[in-house]
Amino acid sequence: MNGLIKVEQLQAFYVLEAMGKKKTVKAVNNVSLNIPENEIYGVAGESGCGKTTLLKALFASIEPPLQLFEGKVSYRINGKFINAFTLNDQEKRELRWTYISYIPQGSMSVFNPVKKLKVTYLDFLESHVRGKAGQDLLSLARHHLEKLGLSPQVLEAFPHQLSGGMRQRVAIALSTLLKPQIILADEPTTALDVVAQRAVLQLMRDIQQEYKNTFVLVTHDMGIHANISTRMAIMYAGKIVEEGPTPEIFSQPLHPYTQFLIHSLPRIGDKTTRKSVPGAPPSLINPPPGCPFHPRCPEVTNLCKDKMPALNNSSEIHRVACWLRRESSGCHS
Amino acid sequence: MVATLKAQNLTKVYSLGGLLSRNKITAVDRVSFSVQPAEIFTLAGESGCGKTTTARMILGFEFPTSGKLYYEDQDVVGLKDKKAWFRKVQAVFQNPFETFNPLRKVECYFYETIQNFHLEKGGGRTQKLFEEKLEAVGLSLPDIAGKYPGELSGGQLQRASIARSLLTNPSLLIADEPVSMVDASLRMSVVNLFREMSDSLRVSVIYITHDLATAYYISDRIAIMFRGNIVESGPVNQVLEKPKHPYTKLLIESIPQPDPRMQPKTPIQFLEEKEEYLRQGCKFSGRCPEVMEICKQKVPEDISFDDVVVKCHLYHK
Repeated sequence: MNGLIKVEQLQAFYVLEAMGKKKTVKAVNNVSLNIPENEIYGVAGESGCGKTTLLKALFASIEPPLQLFEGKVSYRINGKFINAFTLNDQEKRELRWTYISYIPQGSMSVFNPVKKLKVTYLDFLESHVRGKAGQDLLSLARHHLEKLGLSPQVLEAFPHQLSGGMRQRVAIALSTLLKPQIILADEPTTALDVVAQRAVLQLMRDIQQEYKNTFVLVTHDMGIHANISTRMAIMYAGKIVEEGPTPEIFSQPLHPYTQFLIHSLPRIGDKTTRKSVPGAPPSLINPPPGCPFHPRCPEVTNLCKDKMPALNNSSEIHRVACWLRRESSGCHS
Repeated sequence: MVATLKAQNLTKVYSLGGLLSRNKITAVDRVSFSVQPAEIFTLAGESGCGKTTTARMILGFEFPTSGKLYYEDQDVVGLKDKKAWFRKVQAVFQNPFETFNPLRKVECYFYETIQNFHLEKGGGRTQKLFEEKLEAVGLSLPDIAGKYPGELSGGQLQRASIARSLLTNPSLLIADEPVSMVDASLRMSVVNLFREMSDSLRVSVIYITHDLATAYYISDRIAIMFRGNIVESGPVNQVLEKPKHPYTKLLIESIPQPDPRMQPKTPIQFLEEKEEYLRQGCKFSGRCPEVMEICKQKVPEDISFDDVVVKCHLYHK
């Protein structure tokens, strides 16, 4: 397994100062990850658990109030790992869209609402591709859209003339235009209905199979992870609590939080009562000591309350951060 | 038993385009359904199918082009007394972060509703009513007091939004995608809350969603909407376990199954909304896998099978 992005002991906190009081929001707290190539890597977790902040760090876009406290993110470019935080603005700009792309959450805000889509496309292409005339660039865009099964006519439309699903697919197409190796997608299907969502997932899967690149897909919807991600990490209160291949996470969830997430999903044909995780998500300003999940955990022990377990291997490919699963071989409940 | 709400041939037509080239889009096309007391009734369908327009007509935000609405046998279209109406019918909206103004404290909305509807007079009892409703949704006063929307989680805010709607003791709640913006770990608790409310407070709920899995989980009856028409309706078990209309089948197949072993499936076609709204005959004929010649010419009629009603030429005798 070849790593494409390596995250080591990353700590990125928001530092807020209001009325003389200083607050630190520990959004990404000691995260280490190895994101392999040619995979759809899912990051699951509820809102406010730090998954978007993790994506920002992966994109090397750390701007105040977000501050890097420790750790590093390295990109593998031509076989060499380069620390992303040491790059200057110019170098970052050159990597963006050619090596790494970002699909933000709301597709409506990606495009300028008063300009036709082709203007946005041209703007973006002109700043990343050198030495080509406008017409050539547009035909490149048309070609790319056609290849992905979208009608090139959408370039003539204004954003509001397209449905949400179509707009999101055009935004994804835009981000893959220069064949980046990594595409970071932040909740690409939230606010879409199931049929449009299926079309978007289908497009992402097609792109991944075509270009053999890596998607980092952030969403709270476990159904989507089951559907397209090949490997996934579960994030809770700024920490990764479980990581492994998606089929294994679903068949043998080890962390109590993951078990709750998976067992609370309703299915057609089964009307038994589903329970949410008890309690409420913790505040990242003042996260609970020890394991951050302990106030909500049904299996809590004294040890959990004062020490955070490390992310240990339960098997060669499956890792979990839980005191109860330390000695287990991965055949729990 | 008198139905809490009955819609008869409810229709809403929007005009589109410039002054000269006018297209008429029938956003809601002769929709009829009824909601029984303490029942959870789901309106399901993809975005742009008219489910929200239907909700807006019930709430009185839109005036129906034609058709009737009855609340306990009383005609309520164009009701003048909005305040009396909103005592009985309340809404819960999709995005709790947009429901509340980020610069106002959440509790303001409660005090404002209490004041506007003259629910309680005097500080002590206002506070008591406030706490009572918060308790009904599993919140406590310290969770909300003095806080701005940004300080609460999506789940908490949505609960607060539901608690606010309960202040007037309504008999019908209209919940438009109430859980789509709520966190996965808390989503089921909000969904369960609707069930509890309908069981204990005898509130009817019109649950508007595209998520058929949660619809199956909580509702009693369901109506599947497509481009303004109800294409299939009936008890939720029958409609979702044995779907008849090809569109219902497509919707069910599109739910991402929480099981990596159950991968889809055939690629789907994706058409733009406007094109389908203006289609002649059955509006689903453009992407129906079982399309026939007649579908392109004639709008299908409602056909009943016991409790299930389906609008499709396939079942025409």
